[in-house]
Amino acid sequence: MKKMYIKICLLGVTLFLLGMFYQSTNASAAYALNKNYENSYLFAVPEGGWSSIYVNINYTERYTKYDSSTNKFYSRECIFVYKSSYATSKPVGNVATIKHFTKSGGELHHFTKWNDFAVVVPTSYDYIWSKQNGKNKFYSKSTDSYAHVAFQVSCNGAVPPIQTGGLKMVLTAN
Amino acid sequence: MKRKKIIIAVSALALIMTTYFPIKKIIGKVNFMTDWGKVLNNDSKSKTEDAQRQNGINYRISAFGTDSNNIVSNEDIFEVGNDILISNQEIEVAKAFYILQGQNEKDAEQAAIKYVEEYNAMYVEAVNNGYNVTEKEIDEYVTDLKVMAEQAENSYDVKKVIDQFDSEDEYWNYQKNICKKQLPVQKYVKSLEQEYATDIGEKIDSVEKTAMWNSELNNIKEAAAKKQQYKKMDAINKIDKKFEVKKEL
Repeated sequence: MKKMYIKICLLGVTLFLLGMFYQSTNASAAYALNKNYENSYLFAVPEGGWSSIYVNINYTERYTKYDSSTNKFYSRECIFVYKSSYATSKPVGNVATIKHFTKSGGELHHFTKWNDFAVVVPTSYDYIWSKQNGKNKFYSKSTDSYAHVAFQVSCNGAVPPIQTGGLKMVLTAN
Repeated sequence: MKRKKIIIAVSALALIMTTYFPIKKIIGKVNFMTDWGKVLNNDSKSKTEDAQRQNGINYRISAFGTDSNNIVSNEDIFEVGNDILISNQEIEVAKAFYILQGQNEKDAEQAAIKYVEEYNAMYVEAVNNGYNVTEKEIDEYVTDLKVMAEQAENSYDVKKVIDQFDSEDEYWNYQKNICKKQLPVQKYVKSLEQEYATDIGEKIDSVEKTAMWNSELNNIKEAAAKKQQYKKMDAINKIDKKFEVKKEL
């Protein structure tokens, strides 16, 4: 009887420890949300044709499960590339802001500190902007908050002179 | 009650203030593309009429390159360069662009003359440096441009322009004619950009470097225009024979 009791206790402790180990490894597993945006923008020019710029943005938010209902977004990466076609004035593009918003558009955070990180892209692109940010942000797994990358393209002397666009990615991650 | 009326009035004013300028900007842009389309449609029709003209002496617009197939009557020549002619119509189209942008007539004309002189001079430089294009390349480019125009974020801008033509086919045939000059210049400018990047030892991969390159490109365009030594048509006695087109008997 006593031996049976000890075995049951040992089994229970073992299962408990296994459960704790699973919980801890599961909590440190890394996940990612990723979205891509690509499109062209045309600019009317005086000779009667068009100049153009083709933009491609790849955005990633990396997170871990902080607890049973919360994710910890610990890192984000943005790759912004473009190629242009022109005769008299080169179009240009740039990332304006990268922010987190509530579903209704209330600003949660504006990420301002970005570090370069190396990427490999096709040589046909004129311009590459690849940056990483390591700010921690915590959201519930069912959040409807979203990340937004705002950018601008322009062509001096053309119409329209400036155009804007953006990539939006909801941060829901169950 | 009075307080309620004040709140409604202030809210209405705020709504008007926040929406007036964006709406005005959008309407302004829509008008530009519609009006620009009308200018280009008129240009397309005038080119067809030029080709059919029987009176006057006809000249090739350019001494060489694909654009040399375009013909202009002596009555329609604005300026004569060493290797290229500038037509009145080209100046009027560019001038219309700047007027639609909001410039006054005098400034628009000056800007148009500068732009067209430089653009045509760059075409000559492009062809002289081996950057001519074939009809096949032009067809392929316009096919790609059609797809891009349909899928572009501002495809509605292109549609506004196309809608001013009698048909979409007419618009794209007009674009093929534009490309006779635009494509060689594009290819030539791309090579100059790569040379510039090699010279400075850096890629043109930032907003600042693009501004530097555009500034350098402006210098190149001005030098090319100077090389053509443009003269007003009424200031010359005779146009070089290399531009003449023999009339068919």
